Amino acid sequence: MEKIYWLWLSDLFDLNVFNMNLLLGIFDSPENIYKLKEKTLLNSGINETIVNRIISSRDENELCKKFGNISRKGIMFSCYGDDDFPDFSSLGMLQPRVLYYKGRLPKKDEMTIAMVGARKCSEYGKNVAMMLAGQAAHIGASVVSGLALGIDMWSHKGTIDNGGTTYAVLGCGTDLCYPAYNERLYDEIIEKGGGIISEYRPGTPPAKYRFPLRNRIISGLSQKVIIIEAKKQSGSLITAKAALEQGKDVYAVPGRIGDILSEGCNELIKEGAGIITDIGDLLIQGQIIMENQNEYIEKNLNLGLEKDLQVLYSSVDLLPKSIDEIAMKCNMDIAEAVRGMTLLQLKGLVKENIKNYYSKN
Amino acid sequence: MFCSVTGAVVTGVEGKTVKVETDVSDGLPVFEMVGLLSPEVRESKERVRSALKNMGISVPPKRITINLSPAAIRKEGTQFDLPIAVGILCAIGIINVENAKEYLFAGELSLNGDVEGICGILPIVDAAYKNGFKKCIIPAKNINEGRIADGIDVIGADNIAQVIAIVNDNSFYVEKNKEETGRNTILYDFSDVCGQESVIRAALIAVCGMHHLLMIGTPGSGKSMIASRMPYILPEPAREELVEITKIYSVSGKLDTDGLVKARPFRSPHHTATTLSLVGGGRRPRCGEVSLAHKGILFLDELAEFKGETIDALRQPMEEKKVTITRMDGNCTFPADFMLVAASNPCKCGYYPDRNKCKCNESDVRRYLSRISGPIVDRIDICVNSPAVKASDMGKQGTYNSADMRRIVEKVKKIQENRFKDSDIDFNSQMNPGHIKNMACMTEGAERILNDCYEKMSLTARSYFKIIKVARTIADMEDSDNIEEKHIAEAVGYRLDKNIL
Repeated sequence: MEKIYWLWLSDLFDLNVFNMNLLLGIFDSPENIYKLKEKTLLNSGINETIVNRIISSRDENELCKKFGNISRKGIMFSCYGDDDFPDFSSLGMLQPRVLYYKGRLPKKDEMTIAMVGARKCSEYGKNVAMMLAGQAAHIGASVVSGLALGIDMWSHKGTIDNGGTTYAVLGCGTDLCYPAYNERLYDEIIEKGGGIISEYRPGTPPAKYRFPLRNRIISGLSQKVIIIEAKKQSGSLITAKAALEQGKDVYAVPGRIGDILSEGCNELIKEGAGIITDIGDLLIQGQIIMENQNEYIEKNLNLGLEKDLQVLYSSVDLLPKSIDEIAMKCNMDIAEAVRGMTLLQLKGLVKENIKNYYSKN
Repeated sequence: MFCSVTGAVVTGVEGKTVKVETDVSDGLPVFEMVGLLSPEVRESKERVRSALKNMGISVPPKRITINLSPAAIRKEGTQFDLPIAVGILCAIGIINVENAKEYLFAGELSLNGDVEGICGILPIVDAAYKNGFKKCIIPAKNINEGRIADGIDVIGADNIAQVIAIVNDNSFYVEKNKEETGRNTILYDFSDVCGQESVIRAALIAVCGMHHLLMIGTPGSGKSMIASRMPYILPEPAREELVEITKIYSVSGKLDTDGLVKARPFRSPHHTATTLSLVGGGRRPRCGEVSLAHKGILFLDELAEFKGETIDALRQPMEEKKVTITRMDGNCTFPADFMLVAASNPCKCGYYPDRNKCKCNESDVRRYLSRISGPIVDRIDICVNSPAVKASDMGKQGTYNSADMRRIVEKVKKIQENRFKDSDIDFNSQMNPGHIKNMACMTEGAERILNDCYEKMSLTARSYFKIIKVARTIADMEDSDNIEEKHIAEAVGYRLDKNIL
């Protein structure tokens, strides 16, 4: 029964976590707040409108109706003080007190890496996200991201494809899949042992102002934060800022000067963020010691390819290139280049991102 | 007095002879016409009366009845003016009836008695020939077109007086058309295209085997430029094919006065085209763009911008190589054996995957290309991406030129002619699984690679056969009897995969 007070309080202050923590600082527990007399509340110097909201929502029947059927939807929750509730102390006055989730929450000793970036990402960004997420899965770390289009979804996907665990933090209720485009991914994340997490009551619709707030939870759940592609003034930079305030290490993937999608990342690097081109950078700079760190080895580049294929393979990288460009670089005619790319695809070394654009797999 | 002469009506691209019966008898002076006539045929009596009067022939004030038989077929077109006039002239004894029976007449009359040009002459002359006529009088303006037909004397007449003279004296002079042979000159050469070698190569393969082609690429990357150069490298058409094309252009009134069409057509309807204008139809069935592109190229620029139903309507013509239009009065069929060349942007703004320019969402990009209807995508054999042209390629002389490409196409055409001489198809793209089994032998290595691709790239059975067909064409281009590993590998590179569009 005590938990329902947590649910009540956190739902009441879902957009003003700061005030909630302020109240908790004064009155200690949600149950106390629930049972306080109106006069005491007013005397404690709280804004009158807040007091009114507290008072008008104090209805046991309403509460039971509101929160009673949560578990029926397959949604679980964890409150501050529970064993499995993650440690959000680094968030200070902005820490959430309740997390709703589907699947499961990250364990306390789990190595978690946040990977975020632009929604309208480039094919290059997609490849980098998949690569880093795959590497993270190989070293046994789980990846936390936001289920958004673009970098977020590719980070989730890259982890799942490589047998890793991944968590998605939403800016709406956990029973809603936003964006709906990622519905399959949403199911897969849960199936593969990860979780869908949110601080909002099930049924809460997505809204613009909730996304910056959920970003603090993404970084709060993670030990390291990687920004893959970000424009200037983007949501990803909010996550980076939140991470820095929480004292987390922030890494950015560097990009070319002039690429709009790399401006944010380059800016972060200028301000002192770590540079990451490989998950190994995290291991060295961040001094993470993982059990299976030694198993993490660079892919062996000596693949025993025929000469032509070797030449073609060395001309592709993570940035997708058109077949004309590849043929020109290798000084081959188009027919040969197309043939070689098909063979390399069959060997699983190269992938065709878009028609006739190839990149390293 | 009663008499009967012959005219013709055109339905679809086929002509049918029609008996024009005239009866002039005593009674109140009326001019009556019967026989399921459309308005323009009904109006014919006014033109005929004035034309005869202005030629100095007075129509007697008697009861004139005209019947166009068989009465069950709807008569359309203005070609009945001349047979009706001739019928009256026979009935009043100006033209020799027996002589007139040997001719088929077609032509419109102007009020001063001149014979004006009409549409559909070639099908009419063809119908005359098939019905055993030896002589045919048509407007002098259509004479080049009429003389395309063999085995029949086609005579041009400028006015009614000439017609009377020709028929009564049975004297005329028939000149044969001097048909120019040789290819159309190359107006647009592939050597003008900067870079884009992969697209040009794909276009060459497509033309060699008449495979349907889809080009996806950023605006200004040269998709339309390449498409507009493709008609000049198409394989040389046979004369029968040119006659078929000429018939279609003749009935739709798009033929100039030169007679036989000299090259395979290239049609590029705008993306706002309606379904009817694309596949044909209307109350009086007219042929659409697919038929006008018969034996040639139908180029659909901005494929994703076409209305879905319009593109869907292409299914039947692409499958059956003809369009059948059904009306209460009966069916009419237009041939539509074309090669589809389509071009599309990769997304709404057109710049994907260049994220410095493209502002579209992942889902927007997918949604844009998914507007291209699946059944059409299924029928496209070759798909290429045309990337933006690099500044360094600008002004560079292309490595391809149309004259060389034409030679390759003709070489491959010969190989295909040999291969298909005992079957009813002409090009590799038309092979069915039976043909493939007999005529597209693969080496062991090729088969292994194809099966490997089938599993690893999750191909469909349809794309499996499409790859073989394209590989067959590539092998032909390299004079290889068997399909080898490299041919399959290249064909796989041109496959259309909806996941990586």
